[in-house]
Amino acid sequence: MDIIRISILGILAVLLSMILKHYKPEYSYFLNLGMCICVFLYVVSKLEFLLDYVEQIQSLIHLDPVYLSMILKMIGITYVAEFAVNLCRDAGCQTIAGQIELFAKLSILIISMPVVLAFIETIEELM
Amino acid sequence: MNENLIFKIAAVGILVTILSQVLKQSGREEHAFLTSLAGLLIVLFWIVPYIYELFETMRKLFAL
Repeated sequence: MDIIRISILGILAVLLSMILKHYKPEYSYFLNLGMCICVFLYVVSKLEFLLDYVEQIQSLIHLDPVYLSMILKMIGITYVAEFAVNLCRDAGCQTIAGQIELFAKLSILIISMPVVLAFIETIEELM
Repeated sequence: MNENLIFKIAAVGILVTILSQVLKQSGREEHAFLTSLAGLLIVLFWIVPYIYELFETMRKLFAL
């Protein structure tokens, strides 16, 4: 199964980067990067199945597609930001990781602003 | 899948480490630095397409 392959690969990558960390730390960092990319490509391929199911559910419930695309955008931003932040932290650069995280949070906030506005407008109408 | 990327990186890493050790012992310090630089560039050229492919699929998948 896929999970066995990934875990074996992960352990192997860790061991190899352990060897390289003593002599050439940059190669161990490259190894971590390569391993993260492999797992992320697996994750993305699994996500495609998930998104097909979400589309089916969405067609049944007749939800407004705008909200669904907003949620998907947020998930995408968190995924990419998480990937970059963890890699930067792994390499030891906390500040860069913090900046990327801050930017990710801001962009999610900006995306979710229209929903907040619509919510407040509906409340205003009730008043 | 693309596991061989990891093995290639590890191979280049170990090879460059050995080469730079040998060159250091034989007194050619700058050659050792050049080999490690070359190794880094090679690995970089391998990894960049993968990163691009990853972020491209992310962009298409999530309509970012």
